[in-house]
Amino acid sequence: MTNIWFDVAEVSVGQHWYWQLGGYSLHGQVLITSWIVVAVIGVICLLGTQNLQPVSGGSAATAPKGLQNLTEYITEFIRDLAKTQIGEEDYLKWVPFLGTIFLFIFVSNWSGALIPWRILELPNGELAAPTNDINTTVALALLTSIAYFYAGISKKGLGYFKRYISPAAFLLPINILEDLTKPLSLSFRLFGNILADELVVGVLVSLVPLVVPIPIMLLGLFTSAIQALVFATLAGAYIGESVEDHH
Amino acid sequence: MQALAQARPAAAFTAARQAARRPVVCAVQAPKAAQKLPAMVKPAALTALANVIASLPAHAETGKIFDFNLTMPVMAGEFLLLMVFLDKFWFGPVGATLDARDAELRAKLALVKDNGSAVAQLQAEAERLISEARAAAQKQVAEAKAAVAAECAKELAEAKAKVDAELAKALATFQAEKDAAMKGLGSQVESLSADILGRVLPEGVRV
Repeated sequence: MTNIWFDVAEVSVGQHWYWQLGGYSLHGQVLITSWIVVAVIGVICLLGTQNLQPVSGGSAATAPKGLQNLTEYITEFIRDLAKTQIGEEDYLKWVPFLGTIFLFIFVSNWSGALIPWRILELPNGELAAPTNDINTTVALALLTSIAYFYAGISKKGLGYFKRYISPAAFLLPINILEDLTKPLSLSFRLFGNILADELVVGVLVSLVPLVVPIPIMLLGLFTSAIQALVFATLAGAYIGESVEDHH
Repeated sequence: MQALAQARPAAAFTAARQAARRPVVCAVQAPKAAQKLPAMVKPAALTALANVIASLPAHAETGKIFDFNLTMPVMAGEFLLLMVFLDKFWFGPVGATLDARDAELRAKLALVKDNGSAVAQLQAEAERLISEARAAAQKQVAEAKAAVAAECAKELAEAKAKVDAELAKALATFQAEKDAAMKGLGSQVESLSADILGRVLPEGVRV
């Protein structure tokens, strides 16, 4: 006997397609979509950076064409973001990290919103954006924590830890707490937004399959882009905070 | 969902069936008990059926949203690999291209600024040439004016001298004529006065 309520509303939350690797389990559906996302970014990268035109002579014949404009635009965008968050002095070496964060989250989120993953049936769970899984967002958030610790310590040495007792020593517990809340808020913000968006769209589609979900889907596209920007900006801000000079 | 149900372990099915049996029995018995009260049969039966369905198990086991496992380190590794790849093939080369273009544009701008100073130099030179030419022209005009004036003065002097000479000559002639006339007049006066005296005085009186 099966439950017909669940046949009508096809929304599955927290269902995973478990793979086993050396006694540990993996979420197969997350890995599959993340590979697709990485492949998409890689293809854009390779297509957009082959035969780079430096525009010498300033003539239209040597101007950048096609995807080079996209890669240049994104690079400049990330550089600007890094420059405003980290500062003129140190920003350049953090561009790859922030750029990868932005691109990975952005393409992940939009893949969840644009690619009809649901038509591919899995043994359990369903394909969705990789950022729909808490493991992905926590991995990104922890990498961000490691990044800003590395940035601070590599610039100031052990003097970095002075920030825990500034501006006053009694703030030590709060300053330590901050290091815990930063990855927590980063990961839960992204995870919650993407999961909620997919759930809302899923429920609406199961209730009214036509037209009505479209505004929510468009809103979802917007939210997805904003979340990628927010994550990259906050990561930059955290790194900038740990490399800034206290006088 | 059908696929999900098939993939589920058979044990869960049997457990679910046992759990579901009790409400089903109740639902089957409910219409019999309500035969005496036909008006209440329909809502009661519907409620019972809904309860029965709701008490059935879901297809899949309870979802695990916060299910941390090996996926997390694997995703972190994937991300780091992607970062290295993008650094090598995207942000590195494209950044170098942007920097090169920036440097080129800066060099061109600097060149244009130098051109500006050259233009200023040329302009100053042109102004100098123009003022020199103007001075030379003024000098020439002044010289020409002076020459003309000198010639005029010379001619004027010549004409004046000629006129003066003629005047002096005319005056001299006039004086000579006057003198001659005066001299003639004197002798005439003498003869006249003698004549008058001869007529007025009686004969024989000598002056």
